[in-house]
Amino acid sequence: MGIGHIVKSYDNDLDNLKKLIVDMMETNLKQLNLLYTLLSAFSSHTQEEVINLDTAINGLDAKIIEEAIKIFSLRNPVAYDLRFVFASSHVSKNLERVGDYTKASARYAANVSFPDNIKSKYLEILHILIEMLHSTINAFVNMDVDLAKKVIKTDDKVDFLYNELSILLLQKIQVVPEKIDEIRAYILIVRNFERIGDHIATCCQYVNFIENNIMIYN
Amino acid sequence: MSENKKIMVQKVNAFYGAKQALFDVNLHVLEKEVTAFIGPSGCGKSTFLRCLNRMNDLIETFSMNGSITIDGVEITAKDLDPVELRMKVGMVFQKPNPFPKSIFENVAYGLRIHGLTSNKKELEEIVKDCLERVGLLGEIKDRLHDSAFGLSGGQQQRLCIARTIAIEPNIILMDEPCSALDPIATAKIENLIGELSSKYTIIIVTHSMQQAARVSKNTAFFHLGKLVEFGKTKDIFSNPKDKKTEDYITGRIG
Ligand SMILES: Nc1ncnc2c1ncn2[C@@H]1O[C@H](COP(=O)(O)OP(=O)(O)OP(=O)(O)O)[C@@H](O)[C@H]1O
Ligand SMILES: [Mg+2]
Repeated sequence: MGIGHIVKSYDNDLDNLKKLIVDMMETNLKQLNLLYTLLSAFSSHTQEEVINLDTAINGLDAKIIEEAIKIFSLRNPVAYDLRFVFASSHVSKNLERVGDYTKASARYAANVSFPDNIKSKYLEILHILIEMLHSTINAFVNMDVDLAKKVIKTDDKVDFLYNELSILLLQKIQVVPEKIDEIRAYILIVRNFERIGDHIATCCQYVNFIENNIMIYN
Repeated sequence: MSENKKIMVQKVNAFYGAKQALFDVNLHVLEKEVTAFIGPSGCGKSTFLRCLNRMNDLIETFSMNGSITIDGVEITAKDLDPVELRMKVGMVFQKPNPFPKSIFENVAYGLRIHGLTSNKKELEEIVKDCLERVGLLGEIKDRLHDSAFGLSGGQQQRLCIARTIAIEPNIILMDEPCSALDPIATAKIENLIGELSSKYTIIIVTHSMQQAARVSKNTAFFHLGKLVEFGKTKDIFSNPKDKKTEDYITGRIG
């Protein structure tokens, strides 16, 4: 919004809420980057770091919801402000899910020893997710609807790679049934990636909602 | 729900002497719905509201042009009887203004002067019915013949509404009816507005955005004498079209 509120402290509340969301997104980003490191070369120390960051993310979610409730009850936001506060609490919930899926993926990572050709596919998807989240931060900070729409589009690529990889893995189970437990872990990780992509795309839907009052679902 | 246009306003300009207070206002009010007028102080809400029952006639410097019809009848016509118009278009003011008479007489008075009933028993029934409809009868039934000034502000305001509906208007205009009331009295009036809207067309001027959002179906936003935006209340408060409306309702301009 161009001009500030007559009541300055209202602007402070909204700015604060926005800062918390950005903090949360940056924590998610850090966590995803660590997961990338972890999948490149497993270390239990990195694994622990990824798992611990989820606690920080949950804490931020709780703080954001508290802040949003405060603004709802004390400021009675309407119009743009209403959409912003409402969307922020939803974005927070989506980021909280991203944190969970990232943590779960780190847990499974201990049970897999990727052959190189498969590992590169995982890293490729993870790289796309990291780029998506990075753009989402910029889209949210600048309320850049065009950028948000680009991110939503990129999620199609994640879905495509997910499908491709799951078909490959299901075939593999038939070829090497004795490795079913390990392959199951592969499948769960890539399934988590697909979910993460979806939640990041939803955050971008909310950027469009804040600016244009519509949610576009694909 | 009827989508009947009860009031049609076209190209209304209003002046106090040389000072223009309303500029080219066009608007329609739907029958048996609540419409809220909002906007910063001095934007012309009261002036416009008073155009609808020719209350501005009482102000010497006032003049206006344009057209206002109610049920298709031009009410700005010189030969229109404003007293008859005001029977059809009742008004409730910011400050409760009961007559210096008993509670009973406050409601009975209008019925008598307009000759709406001559039968004493019927008069009593109508008065009690009106007091009941505004939720006052239970609270004051043993004080019917005490002075209206003994009532609380909220009770006085409901008494004024009872007085207004006693003469069976079609339209009720309310100019900030809750601004002198506490939240409980306000909630009672808002609840009453909801109930009355099944029978009457109601226009309420309010400075409380939340009140407009709670009670009205349609909202008109005025700024500097112009009607800036008019639409469904839920649209105005979730996604106004005009930047000025947005800035006003979100508390960015006054
Ligand atoms: N009797 C009058 N004589 C001269 N000017 C008047 C008179 N009544 C109102 N005005 C002017 O007309 C403009 C509109 O006033 P109006 O009372 O309609 O505003 P309003 O929107 O009802 O404001 P508020 O929210 O403060 O009640 C203002 O500039 C006001 O000063
Ligand atoms: Mg006024």
